[in-house]
Amino acid sequence: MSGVTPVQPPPRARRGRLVRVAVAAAIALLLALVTLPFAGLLARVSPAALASRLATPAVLDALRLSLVTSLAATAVVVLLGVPTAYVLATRDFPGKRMVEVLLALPMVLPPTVAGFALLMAFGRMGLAGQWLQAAGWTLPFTTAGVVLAQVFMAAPFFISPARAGFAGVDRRLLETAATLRASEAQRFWRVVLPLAAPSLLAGVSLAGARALGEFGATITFAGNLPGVTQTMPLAVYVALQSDLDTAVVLSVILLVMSFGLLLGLRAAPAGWLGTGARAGRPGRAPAR
Amino acid sequence: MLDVQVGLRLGNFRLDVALEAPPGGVTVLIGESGSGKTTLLRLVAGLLAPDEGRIALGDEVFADAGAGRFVPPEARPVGYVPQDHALFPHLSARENVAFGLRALGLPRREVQERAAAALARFGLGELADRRPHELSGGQQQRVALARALVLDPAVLLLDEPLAALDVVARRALRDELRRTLEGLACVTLLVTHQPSEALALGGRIAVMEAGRITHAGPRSGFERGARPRYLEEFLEERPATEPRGPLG
Amino acid sequence: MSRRRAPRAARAVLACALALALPAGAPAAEPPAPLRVSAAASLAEAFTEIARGFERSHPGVAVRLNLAGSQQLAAQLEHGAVADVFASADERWMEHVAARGLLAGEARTFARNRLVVIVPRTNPARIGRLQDLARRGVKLVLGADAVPVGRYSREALERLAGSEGFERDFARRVLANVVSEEENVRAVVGKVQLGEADAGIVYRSDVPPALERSVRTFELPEAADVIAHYRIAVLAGATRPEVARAFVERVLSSEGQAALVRRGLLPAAAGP
Repeated sequence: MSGVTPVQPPPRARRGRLVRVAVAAAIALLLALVTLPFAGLLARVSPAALASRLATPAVLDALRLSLVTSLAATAVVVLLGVPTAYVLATRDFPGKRMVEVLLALPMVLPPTVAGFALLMAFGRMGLAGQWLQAAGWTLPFTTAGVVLAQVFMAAPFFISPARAGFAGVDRRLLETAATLRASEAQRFWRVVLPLAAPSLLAGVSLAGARALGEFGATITFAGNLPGVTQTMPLAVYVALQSDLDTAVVLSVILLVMSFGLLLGLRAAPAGWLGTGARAGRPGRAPAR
Repeated sequence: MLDVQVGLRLGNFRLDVALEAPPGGVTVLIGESGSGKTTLLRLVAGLLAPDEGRIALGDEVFADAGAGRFVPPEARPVGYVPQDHALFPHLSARENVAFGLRALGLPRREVQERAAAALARFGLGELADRRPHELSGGQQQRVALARALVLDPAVLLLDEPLAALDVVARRALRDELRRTLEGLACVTLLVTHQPSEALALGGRIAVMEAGRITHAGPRSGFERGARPRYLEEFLEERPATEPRGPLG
Repeated sequence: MSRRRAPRAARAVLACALALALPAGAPAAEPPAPLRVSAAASLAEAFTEIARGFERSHPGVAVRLNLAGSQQLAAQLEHGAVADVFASADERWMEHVAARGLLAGEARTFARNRLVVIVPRTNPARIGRLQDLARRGVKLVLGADAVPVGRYSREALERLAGSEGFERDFARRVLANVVSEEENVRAVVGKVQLGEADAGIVYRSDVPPALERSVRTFELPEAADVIAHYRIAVLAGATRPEVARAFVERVLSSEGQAALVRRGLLPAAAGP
C-alpha cells in the first residue's frame, strides 16, 4: 500500500517518451500554422454576407472566369504533359538534363517574373508575340492569355508526379505485355496508363489547384479586367482594398474549391486500382 | 525445331550458344545464376537482339544478325512466363488471361470463350475475378501459364517457374506443371537452377556455364554416368527429392 | 558509449543556439530606428531624394519607403500595418484613413500633379490626338477606379466628353477600350513602355526625360486638366512622432518642394 515506491521507467524509455512528445508538438504546431488562417477566414464570413455577395456580377464573373481558365489550362497541361512526362521517364537523349531543368523552372520562378518573361515572349513586341500579332492573334489582355499564364505556372506540377508515375511502372510488366502481342501503343494504354493513373491524378489535382490560384503571372501578363482576365485571385486582391466582404466571400469560395479539388482527386485512385495493389509490387500473401 | 545459334556481349559477359529444342518436349536449361539462362530466354522472346547468329523456328526466322533481321517480341509466336509471373496487378485473373487475345484484336466473343476455357483448364474458374494480389503463389503461376498458353504459342518459355513458391507449394506444383507441359505441342524451353526440377520436368537437359552450353542431351544421360562438375555438387545423393537450402 | 555522448552533445548544441539567439532578441543599441513612410507609387523618385536628404541631416534615422497604390497603403494601415507617415495621391484615401482615427493631427496638401496621356514610341495604334482614344480596338490601360490616378483619369475623360472638339459619348467609348485596370500608376507606365498597351493615362511626373525615349506624351486641354492633390499626415501609430513631424516639415519645406518639382510634380498650392 503506502510502502510501494513507483518504479521509475528506465532512462531509455524516458527519452523515447520525450521524443514522442516533441514529435507530437511539432506536428501540432505545423497543423495549427496551416489551419488557423483557414479558420480565421471561415470565422469572418457570415452566411448572410456569403449569400448576398455570391450573386454579384463581380463575384460571378470571377468565379466563371476562374473555372473556365483553370479547366482549360489543366486540360492543356495534361494533353502536352503526358507525352512529355512519358518520354522523360522512359528515354534518354542529349540535353535531357537541360530540358528537365527548363520544365521545372516555372515552379521556382516568382510568378511576377514569370509574367514578365511571358510578356517578353508572347507580348506584342515579344519574340514569338510579334509573329502571332502579324497573324492576328493577341495574348496579353485576353482570356487566352490567362490560360497561357496558368499553363506555364502549373505544368511542372503535373509533369513531375506524372513522370514519377510512368517511371514507376515495372519494366518487366511492359516486356511481358510485349510477349503477349501488345504493340507499344497498346502497352501504353493498357498497362502504363492504368498503373500510372494515381500519380497522374495527383498531378492533375496539383496542377489544377495551382492554375486556380495563379495570380502574379496572370496580372502581369494578361492584365486585370473584370469579366475578361480578372480571375478569383485577382478579384480578391482588388477587393481587399475596398470591399472586404467580397474579398472574404471570394477567398472562402477559393478555399472550398481547392480543398475539394485536392480531396476528391486523392480519394479516387484508391477505388480505381482495387485494394492496395500498386504498380509492380507483389501483393500480400492471400488465403489458400 | 527451335534453332538457336547466337552470340551476345553484355558488358563483360559473353554469351555464345548453339541449341536445338524440339517441339512436343521440354528442354531444360540448367545452370547457376549468372550463367546466362535468362539472357538466352530473353533472346528467344525478342527482348534482346543477338550480336551474331540466328534464331529460327523451322523456316520462320526470328532474328538474324548477319541479315539484319529482327522480329520484335509482339510479332513472335512466343509465350513467356517470367520468373515472378509478372501478372498485371490492375487486372483480374480473367483479364490477365484475356490480355493477349485482346491485343490481337480478336472479336469479343472469341476472347471471352477462349479465356474462359483457359481458366477452366487450369482450375481457375472460381478465381477468375480475383486480382493477382488476392491469389496464392501457385494460383498466380497458373494464371501466368494460362495467359501465355491461351495464345497457342509455337514456343513456350518458362523462367524459373517454381522459384517464386515456397517449398511445400513447389513440390505440389512441380508435378502439376509436368503434366501440363507434357501435353503441349509447342517447343518448351524451361530455365531452372535446381537439378531436381530439371530431372523432373525436362526431356532434354542443357547445362549452361558462363554463357556457354557445356553439356546437352536427353535426361537419361544425366541420371547416371559422367556428370559435369556443377551437377556433381548438387546431385550427391538424392536426385529426385528435396532441394537443399532456402531456395534450393 | 555513444549513447552517453549523444545527450551531452545535444545539450551543447542547444546551449550554443540559445547563446546566438539571445543577443538578436535584445534591444539593439546602435542601428538607427527606421522611419516608415507609406507613400503613393508616383512619389518614388521624389521621396527617395527627400529621404536621403533627411537622413543626412538627421543621423540616427533611416527612412524606409513603402511604395504602392494609395488605396493599398490605406488598406494596409486599416488592417494594422505600422507606419509613421502616410502620403496619399488623393484626398479620398487620406479621408478614409482619417475616418478610422489613424491620423495624429491634420493632413496637408504637399504636392500636386497633372495627368498626361502616353503612348509607346512605336505608337502601334497610330494615336495622333486625344480623340483617337475613342477609336474602336485601341488598347487602353488605366489605373483601377480605387487607385487615385484611376479616379482622376475617369474624371478627366468625363470633363473631355462634350467639350470643345470632343463627342458627347467620348468618355464612354474610351472606357470601353480599357483592357486592364492596374493597381498602381507605375504598372500603367510599364505596360505602355513595354508596348503592350496602345495608350495609358498617368501623371506627368511619371514621364521623366529618361522615359521620353520610349513614350510619347499628350497633354490634356485646360478644361479637362484634372489636378491631383497629394496629402500627407503623421500617423497615430507613429513610434517616433517628433521625427515623423520633422519629415513632414521637410517635405513641405522649400528643399522638399524643390525635390518634388525636380521630379515633375507641382508644388503645393497656397491652400488647404
